[in-house]
Amino acid sequence: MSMWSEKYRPKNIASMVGNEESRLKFVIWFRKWKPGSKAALLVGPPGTGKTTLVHLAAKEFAMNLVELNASDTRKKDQLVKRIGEVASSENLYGERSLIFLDEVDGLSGRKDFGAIDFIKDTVKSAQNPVVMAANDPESEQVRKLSDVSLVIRFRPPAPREVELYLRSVAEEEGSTYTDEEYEAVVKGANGDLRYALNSFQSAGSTGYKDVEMTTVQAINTFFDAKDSETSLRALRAYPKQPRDKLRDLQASIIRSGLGGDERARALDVLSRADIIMGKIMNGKDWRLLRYFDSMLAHELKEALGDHAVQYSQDSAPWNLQLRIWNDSRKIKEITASYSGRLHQGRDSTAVQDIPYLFVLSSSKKFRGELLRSLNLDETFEKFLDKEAARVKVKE
Amino acid sequence: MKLVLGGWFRLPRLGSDVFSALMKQGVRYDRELGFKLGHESDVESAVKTISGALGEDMELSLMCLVCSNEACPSCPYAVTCDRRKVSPICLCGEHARGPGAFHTYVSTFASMLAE
Repeated sequence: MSMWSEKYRPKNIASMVGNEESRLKFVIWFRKWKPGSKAALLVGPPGTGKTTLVHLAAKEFAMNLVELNASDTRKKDQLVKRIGEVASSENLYGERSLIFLDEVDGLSGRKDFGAIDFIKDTVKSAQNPVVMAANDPESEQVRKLSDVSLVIRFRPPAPREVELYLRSVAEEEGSTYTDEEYEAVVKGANGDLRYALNSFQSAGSTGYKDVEMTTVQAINTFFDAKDSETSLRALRAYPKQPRDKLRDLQASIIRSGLGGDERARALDVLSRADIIMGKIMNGKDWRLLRYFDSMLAHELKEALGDHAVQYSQDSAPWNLQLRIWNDSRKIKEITASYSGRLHQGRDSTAVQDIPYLFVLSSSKKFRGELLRSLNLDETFEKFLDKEAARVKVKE
Repeated sequence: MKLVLGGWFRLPRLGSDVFSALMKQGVRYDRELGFKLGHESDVESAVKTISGALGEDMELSLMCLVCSNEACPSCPYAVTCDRRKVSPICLCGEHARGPGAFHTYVSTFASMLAE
């Protein structure tokens, strides 16, 4: 069974919904574009149709789409290699190219030396149109690139337009639903059309009455279920974004009276689910979303066993939040110093190297040398000691 | 006062400071037609500016793409829809549901593209 969000992707610019003025402005820019014109910078939250618009424009104007995610191709030399020549030439078949740089707000001004300046120079001299997309309108990158770009804002479509699209899909599928059923899905989607379609499809396969479940009902049904299939149905009947589901499940587990081991196992499942969610979002691999609820339902139920958990909307107790905040601050400081010594990015240092530092920190001699070499004060001694002990306990 | 997003409206003279603030907030101005809050506008800030200058609360409504009438009356999402944050064009009750609604929407937009 194919995902409706893929099957019912708009076929052309006119059949998208929402952002009518923005789409119109983009098409006018495209038609009038000539070498030396400004680039188009599409700015707005994820799921508002920026990428779809660019893909459809390339198709409708018969252009070869050269797409780069700026977060993956961050440095100037990488950008030169990928788009340097394309920007100023036709391809072998004489087709013009449309250069699309997605997520330009993912470029870091400090780490990605020269990338923004290179993009600005490329826009000025390009023989092919350049389109960029960013999520954060307030970012420094958007501010810098707006000198050479026509900035076009994108917003979530109004709920009635989301409903209009769902109705057109239902008509294609030959299905009929009540107004209340449409409204339940649209309200849960918060303007995210892709999410609305996915939840519309999964709700249809599990029975529409489930869609009306509230957060409390869905979470309690999830935890009370005797088998993972019932838990899965509860999760699918829960019209919220995957990240919100994770947050609600996490709050309920933390606030429950679960023992240390069960709680740790359950939080470990949520942590893995969060990583998978991050990968889905980064790679825009929406097909994997269909496995997300399933993974949560099966693994979390197994981790919890017969232990009772009830819905709680409170977040973690304040003393735990304070501890998390203090620890994360310390980890950030250690990562910043250590990544400087390694000449590598902070993200990869935090993921690849810091866990080993904690293991090695069980040696007092190593801890002392590490603190001296990184110029960290004695408060870190206690922190590293604690982390090393935690790693030992885990072993 | 009610403001229809995506449509033109008139304001009394509110002084150069208010006018310049509205321009910075992406409000469009046309001597003949008046002001317009559209996709480029920071609707939230602009509404605060106008509301502060007039000393009255603003009620926001979206505009129907097909007939240019107000879209919000009788909308089932009127309570939950944050009109300051969604895209400013919508559909009225008559054009949002019913057979052929999607086709009408698409052909209206297509004719705007063709102009």
